Amino acid sequence: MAPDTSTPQNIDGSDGNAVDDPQEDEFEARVGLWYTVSQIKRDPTALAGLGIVAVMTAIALFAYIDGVFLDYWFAQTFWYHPNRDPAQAEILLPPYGLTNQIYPTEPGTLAHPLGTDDRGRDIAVRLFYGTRIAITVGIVSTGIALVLGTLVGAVAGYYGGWIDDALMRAAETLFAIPFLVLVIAFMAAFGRNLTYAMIGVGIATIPTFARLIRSRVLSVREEDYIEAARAAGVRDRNIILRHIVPNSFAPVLVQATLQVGINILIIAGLSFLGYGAQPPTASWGQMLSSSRQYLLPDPWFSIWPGLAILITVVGFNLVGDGLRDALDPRINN
Amino acid sequence: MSSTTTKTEPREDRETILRVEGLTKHYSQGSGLFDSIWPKPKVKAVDNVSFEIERGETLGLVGESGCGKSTLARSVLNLVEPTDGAVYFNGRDIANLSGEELRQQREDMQMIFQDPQSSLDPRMKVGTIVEEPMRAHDLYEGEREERARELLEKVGLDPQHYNRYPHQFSGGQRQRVNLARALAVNPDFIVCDEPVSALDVSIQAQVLNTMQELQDEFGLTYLFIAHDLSVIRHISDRVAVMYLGQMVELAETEELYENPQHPYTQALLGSIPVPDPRSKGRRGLLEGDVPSPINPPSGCRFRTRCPKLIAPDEYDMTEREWADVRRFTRAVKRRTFEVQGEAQLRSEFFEQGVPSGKAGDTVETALDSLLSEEWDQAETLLQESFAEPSICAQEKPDYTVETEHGMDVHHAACHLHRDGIESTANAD
Amino acid sequence: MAEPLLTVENLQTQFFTEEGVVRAVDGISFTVEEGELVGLVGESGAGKSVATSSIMRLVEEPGEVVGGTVKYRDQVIIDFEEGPDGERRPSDEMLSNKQMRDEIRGNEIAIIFQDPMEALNPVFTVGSQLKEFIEINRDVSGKEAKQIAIDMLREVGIPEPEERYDSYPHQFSGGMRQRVLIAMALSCEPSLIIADEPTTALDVTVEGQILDLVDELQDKYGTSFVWVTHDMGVVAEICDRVNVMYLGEIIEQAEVDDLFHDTKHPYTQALLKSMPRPDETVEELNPIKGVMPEAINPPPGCRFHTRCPDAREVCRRTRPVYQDVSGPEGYPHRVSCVKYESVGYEDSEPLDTEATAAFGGDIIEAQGESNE
Repeated sequence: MAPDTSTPQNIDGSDGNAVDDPQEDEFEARVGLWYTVSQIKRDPTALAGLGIVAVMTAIALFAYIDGVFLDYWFAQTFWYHPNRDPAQAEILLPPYGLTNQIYPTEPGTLAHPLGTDDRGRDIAVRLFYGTRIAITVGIVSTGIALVLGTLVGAVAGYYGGWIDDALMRAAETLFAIPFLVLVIAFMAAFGRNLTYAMIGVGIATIPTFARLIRSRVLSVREEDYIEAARAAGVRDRNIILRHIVPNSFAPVLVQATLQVGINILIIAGLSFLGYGAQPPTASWGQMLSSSRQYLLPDPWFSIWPGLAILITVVGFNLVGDGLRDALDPRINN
Repeated sequence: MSSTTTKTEPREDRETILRVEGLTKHYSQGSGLFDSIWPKPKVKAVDNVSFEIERGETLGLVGESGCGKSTLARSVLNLVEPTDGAVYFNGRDIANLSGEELRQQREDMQMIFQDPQSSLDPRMKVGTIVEEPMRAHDLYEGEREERARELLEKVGLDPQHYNRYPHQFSGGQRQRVNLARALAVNPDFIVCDEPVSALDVSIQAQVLNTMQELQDEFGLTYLFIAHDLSVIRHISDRVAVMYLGQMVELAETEELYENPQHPYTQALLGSIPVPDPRSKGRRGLLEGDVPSPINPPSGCRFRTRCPKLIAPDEYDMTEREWADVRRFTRAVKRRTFEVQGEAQLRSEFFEQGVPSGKAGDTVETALDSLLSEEWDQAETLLQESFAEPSICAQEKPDYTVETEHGMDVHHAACHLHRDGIESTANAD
Repeated sequence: MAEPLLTVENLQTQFFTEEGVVRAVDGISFTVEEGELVGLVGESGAGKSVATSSIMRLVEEPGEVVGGTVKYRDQVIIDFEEGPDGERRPSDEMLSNKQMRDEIRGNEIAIIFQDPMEALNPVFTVGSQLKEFIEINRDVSGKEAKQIAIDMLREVGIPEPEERYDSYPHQFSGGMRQRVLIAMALSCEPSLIIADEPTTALDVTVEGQILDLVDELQDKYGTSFVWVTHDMGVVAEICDRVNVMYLGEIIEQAEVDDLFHDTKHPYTQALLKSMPRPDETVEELNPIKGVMPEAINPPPGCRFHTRCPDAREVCRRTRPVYQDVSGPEGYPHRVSCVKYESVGYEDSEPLDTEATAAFGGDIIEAQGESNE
């Protein structure tokens, strides 16, 4: 074809607009991570939540590094004065410290700002290392449910028919069994430790995510761009991964954030019942559990871990709510 | 540069690119376990439709909402699996393909959708959107971006828009992105499902012109679906008219618009508001609603609304008498009037008196039933005596009529064209 | 000539958005006489719907009617006066919101919407909605209201109105639902009906039925109509007079025959030329270049000059005056185009709209009202 026909003058798409063609970067895309973040920035409660989650995650990360690589350097330096009592250093420290008969049951001193428990262990230190477990447990269990649930829900919703029936009926069966019974049965079968607690809770919450994403997929599936992709010959796998999941993901992301908080509570509850972290591991739930007998005489045993759980869960919930607003196109306009 | 439309091109070396034979699509309602045990009646969206499209031409497909034209388009592409029939694309039957074979076949046949808003993934940049078909068919490896920018320019957009999201474009521009995506893998055949009906008039013209230029440049074949008869007239070489899942008429554009032979096409053409106050069109030519596609009328599906329904052979009525009886029969079926006494009934429907003979007796009986408020009885009697025995209810019509404009075959599915019958229609 | 039924003068409605002030309706004037069917035509984004909801005082946040006068017979629907500090405030003569509700809406001026499915509540029967509407707007008992409702349904051609009274909206076809809305609009015997694209969602044969019905009812009741549409075909079929809107302004107003056969404004001309015709084969369409600019930042001078095939240098500078260009007799034919003024159009350099039309690359702004 002749060069001059390559931009046909008559093609008329032409805009006779006198306004200059605007620069690309003047336009803010209303999708994507940065847009979502910029929406959250306008929302003070979500920002507060984000702050809590960030601080907790940072603490958890730091506690992990400190515990594994630095041999509890942080705790030894700040909560324990080696000069004062070098001989007792070990027993103050989780997870192997069992008792410190020198300072049992103190409500709070300069050396132990949040007090010590019945065995004289520093509560602040135990909370610090417990953060690690709480955050890990919340995120890992939610992650398991999120990945598997999304997959199940997206496949069920996209294909429909008997695949949908089979997957969703299975999910509903899982849903029909009382939650704690399911997790406890799971742990009774595989073993009582934190890893199985996480996996058990993760599996038990798969239906929540599967149902949520399926309902979104059912409507996204009807969008013309899905049919357009099929008409163009795009493989089913790519349609699901590139179109269906990204466009159905917003409510799932919100649910996941909320679920992290819920799962932290659940696993604390399991620890409380004796099915989570086993003593002497410092986990918040386990700390609550062992403070049962001292609830009235020594309330600080339970107040501090309770407060830690509360703050963390509230933090995740605030983020979840903020995300929901940020991702909802109806609010964004 | 004036673009010569394919309309004026000689059509000697004809090559059929697509042949559709007896294509049928019946939807089942519901897909769950219970629905498979106690099936609900099926929706007969497309029923036994056949046509051919030649390479390089535009076949317009027109019909009102619910007539099955979108389903037909999707069945042709096997986006919904046809219940029955065959679709030969370049000689290969694609109606029975599935899975990977079907997916690969899509390289040669693409589709453009009606809604410029929802046919582009809002989370993808237009560059990625245009490249997607290339990636799906492993084509143009390494030069995809370049090609995508080239295509954007071809359809009248700025190549720099490659990195923008769909919502940053206006409706007309989004439809151009759709065009670019359809062209990405250099297909032979594009199905366009109402591509301009969501656009403003002035933008419509821009997009239509672009589509014609692209057709000339790439030798594309279009199946162009629309409900707007003006748009169809402008873009098509041949036009097919659908009613309730079946094709009622198919002819060259000029022929169809100037010499319509099916009463439905005539009514459709007569109803379009013409943008000229001096040509007062006749409108509201059809009464009643389109019947349900779950249980469509037997024979000719248009017969329940047809202003030219043929009288059963057994009666000997004048045209006017038959017109009265037909109107009365339908009014009773649709319950469009109130009975306020015998005189009122007679003056409303049989001003010139009830026909004589057998037909008259039936009408009298029906009138008596109405006067005693027996609507159902009257309806059944009239339907059995006048509507059902008509050839229109007995046989499915399919005729070829004489062409007045151009030389192509003119199909009209109407019994008025069976040989030897005198038209009993109220002639215009 | 008798007093017009509805007078709209210099009506202005603006939307106060984050991005700035959108002048959706920018000083439009027109009248509706008794028994007349007046068209309001334009492309999407021209401000047609905002204009009608302004007349009904139904503009919602962030929109606001900021100026102009609307009079219905001797009642003042919208009017502004200058306050003591020079600010504009609604004048005392203006009807209160309660009066608008009780006396105008439904009773005197009724409105019919484009999408009959959205205008009817899916969980109530058609009859009960119609009855409720009649009870609210007319001083009748429940039983009477039901009778009126059934009579109205029959009037608009719904078969078996007694039985259909108890049907739900989804049990009606699109055309039948639109008939129900017309019945609702007519049921309180208003003098003026504002129809906002009432046939756009319908098929052409059904549209024909509805247009017939409107003709018939207009003959019978003498109701006036303001008919909002983008379809020049429908305008040609039913309107007596037409107002053409572009970017918040009425740019041409004429009797329907004059508008089509003695077209004055280049936009109207271009619009008519860009349409494919059902009754003749058009080899090539002449589309209007580009897209309508955003009302948030309208072009200076004549608002159409960026797309106008006849644009000249002067169009960019001079705001055209909306004036009557008809001869001494006949109905006024108003147009706003500098061609019909003596501001030096003939001597002005032609603007090269082709040159600026490099590609259709005009991006819409993020707020794109008509696209969401």
